[in-house]
Amino acid sequence: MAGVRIPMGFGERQGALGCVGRIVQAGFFSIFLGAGLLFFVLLLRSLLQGEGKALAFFLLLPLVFIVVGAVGIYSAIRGPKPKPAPGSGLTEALSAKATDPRKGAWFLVLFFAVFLAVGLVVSYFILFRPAVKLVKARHWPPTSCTILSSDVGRHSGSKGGSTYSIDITFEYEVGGRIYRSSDYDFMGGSSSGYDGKADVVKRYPPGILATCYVNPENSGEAVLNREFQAEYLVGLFPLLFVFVGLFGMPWAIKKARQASHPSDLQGASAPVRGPAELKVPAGPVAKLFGAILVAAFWNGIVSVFVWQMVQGWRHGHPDACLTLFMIPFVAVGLGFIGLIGYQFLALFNPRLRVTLSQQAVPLGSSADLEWRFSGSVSRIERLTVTLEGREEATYRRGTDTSTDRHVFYRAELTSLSAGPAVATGRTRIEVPGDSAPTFEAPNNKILWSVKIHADIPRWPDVLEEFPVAVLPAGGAP
Amino acid sequence: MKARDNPFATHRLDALPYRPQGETWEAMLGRLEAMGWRGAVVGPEGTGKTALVHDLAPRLKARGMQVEALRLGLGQRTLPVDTLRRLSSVLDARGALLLDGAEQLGPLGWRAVARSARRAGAVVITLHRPGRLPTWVTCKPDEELFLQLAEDLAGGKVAGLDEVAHEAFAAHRGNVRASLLALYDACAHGRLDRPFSG
Amino acid sequence: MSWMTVDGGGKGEFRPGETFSGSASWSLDAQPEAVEVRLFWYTEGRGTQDVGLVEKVRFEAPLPSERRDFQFVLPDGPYSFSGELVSVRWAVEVVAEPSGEAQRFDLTLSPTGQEILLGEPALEGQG
Repeated sequence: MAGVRIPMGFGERQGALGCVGRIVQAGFFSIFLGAGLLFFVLLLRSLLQGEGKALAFFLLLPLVFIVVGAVGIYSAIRGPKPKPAPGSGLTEALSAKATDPRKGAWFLVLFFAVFLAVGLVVSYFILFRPAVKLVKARHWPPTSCTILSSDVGRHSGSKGGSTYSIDITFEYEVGGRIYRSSDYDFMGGSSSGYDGKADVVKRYPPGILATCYVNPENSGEAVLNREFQAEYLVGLFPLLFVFVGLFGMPWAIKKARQASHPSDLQGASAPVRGPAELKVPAGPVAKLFGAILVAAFWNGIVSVFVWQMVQGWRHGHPDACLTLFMIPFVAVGLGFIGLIGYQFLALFNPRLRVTLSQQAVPLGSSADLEWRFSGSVSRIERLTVTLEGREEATYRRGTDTSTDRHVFYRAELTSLSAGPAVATGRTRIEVPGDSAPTFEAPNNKILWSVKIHADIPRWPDVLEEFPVAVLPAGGAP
Repeated sequence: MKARDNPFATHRLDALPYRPQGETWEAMLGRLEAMGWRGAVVGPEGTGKTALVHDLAPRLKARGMQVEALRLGLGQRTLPVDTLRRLSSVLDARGALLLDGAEQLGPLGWRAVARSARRAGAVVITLHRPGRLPTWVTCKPDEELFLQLAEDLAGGKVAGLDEVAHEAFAAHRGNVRASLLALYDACAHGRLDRPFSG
Repeated sequence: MSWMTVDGGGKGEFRPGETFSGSASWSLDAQPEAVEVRLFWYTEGRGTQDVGLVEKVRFEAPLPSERRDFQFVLPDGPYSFSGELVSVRWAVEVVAEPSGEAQRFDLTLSPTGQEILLGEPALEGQG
């Protein structure tokens, strides 16, 4: 009798974060939580002060931040789930160590789905609905109304400043029935800028007859102004969430599918036809942003203690112990600031685009690699392009983690001195047939990459590593 | 040298049995019983605590105990609520909790674990410093033991092993595990003679 | 005395896409709930061991002593290889449940059937 055949996933994929990683994670999500709480309180206060109904929908935004922040901090503090110690289970079978990689991957999909959903909901209330009303209101009949009260509402802002709103109440008659409305336009709410609102209020003094526009489907709804105004552009904000969700979800789904069917790289042939632009894990702007983030986080914390230290010295009771203790921390902080400078200078480096003639290269075959620099290419003194294959092994036991790397293949593809050929060129990657294809397991990896080094005298070099997917032989186009 | 042939490959390190120092397993278990089956294995990183707990599990099972063995990761200050709940329900008088890396738990995390395991027949934890439970075994860096382990893994006396091992032990300040990984690198880089019979 | 065996008909070297036709035999003290035959790869070397289960065949409620035949079509990868830090090996394992008793049969999977050896970096250029 044949048994039941069950195809499997590929092995555990999620890696463990180290202590520093978890502190950074907690810090990162604290920013989320803090910002969320701050905005929530401010919005709620404004709302309680009666500053427009539209604000109520904004409350969803900080709530998302609060939830994301709280969950992130909780997971950082809680850390990974304890692992069953090996050998303590009933089985000694080696295959029993294999685990399902799919859980973590689909969590990301859910994360981006929440972004998308919140973005869509908030967009509906503050973008699509007002926009639809603006369009529909073109056909709302003009109706005479009487201004009952008219004033510029003043609301104390969060930072001591004030925001202002147009508080106009008017009365109109439809079908023999009197209605009252306080909606000047479809937006409501308050914002900074007094003069514009005062002008509006001046145009509608109490007691005068004016024209309002009444919704024929709901006579209770009427506005004085049905024109488009810049304030409506605030509605574009939740689209950010929609975009993050829209772009994040397909990416996360792809990741999750890769986790479910890792054979894309390690087994059955992946689609390899067609050129592919090789991407570095982080571009120069991302690197600068990363450096700023790390420097701000580190120095933000360190500065609290430095401030205490400085106060001590200023008031004549210096804490020498604290001062000595702080030296390495301040040095690291300065190093991070230096890194910002370095990454900033690197922003002005020639930009590099690299295209490979195939999405992935099977073992024993070749592909054309094309590079193109834009910007100040003349500063490049020497350019080398190298193909490299390396092993990576991470060992985790107890609370120790150590990763080792070993390059098993290196071939210089191109080496050029300064000249016009540096700006754009082409070379051929030949992946040896008797080697191993790309392999990525949680602790052990075979990675292939193209390294491009442009030597710029007295300036940060361009040093980029582009991962190349190498397939088993036979995956050739 | 092929990674899988390296005598210090991690699957071989992980399979190293704990070697009781100066007493037998029976004597150790006798002491643990006298301590009411509550004890801590105390020692710095890489001195054999994990191996001890690993090898304790089958011995407790042989005594009819149901063993729950958990390992905490770096900075894991609490156990998830579902894990605590599960421990509460399965750890009765015949249940044993082996918790590797209990020093990672915060005070509240440890109290929660202790509460979940209050009915357990046995609780053994590993710590870097004494506390939380009375010390059952103290693991200390022991160069002689390390050299013995290295020699056993290498499959006997190998030219240059003692010297490289001594260097590694000093460089890693007595962390046996890290020192054995250094021997892996030494082997991989051809600093130790081949072949190994291990 | 319990025992289990698994083998691939004397063949241990395979190419991607080939069929592994094997048999598993066992004689166990207690009747198992199930016996599984698992095709998987695993790593050895400097890193923590990774294991990837690729396919399994499950025999429900088998007899305590029995012999069963099975087949696996081997995937395109990962190949069996050894570098300085990582080796990937393939195996078929027969496992009794719930006792966990197991027996393993190692095989190699690569275009040549031989384990691929990753050497030191080449020194010369390609082009």
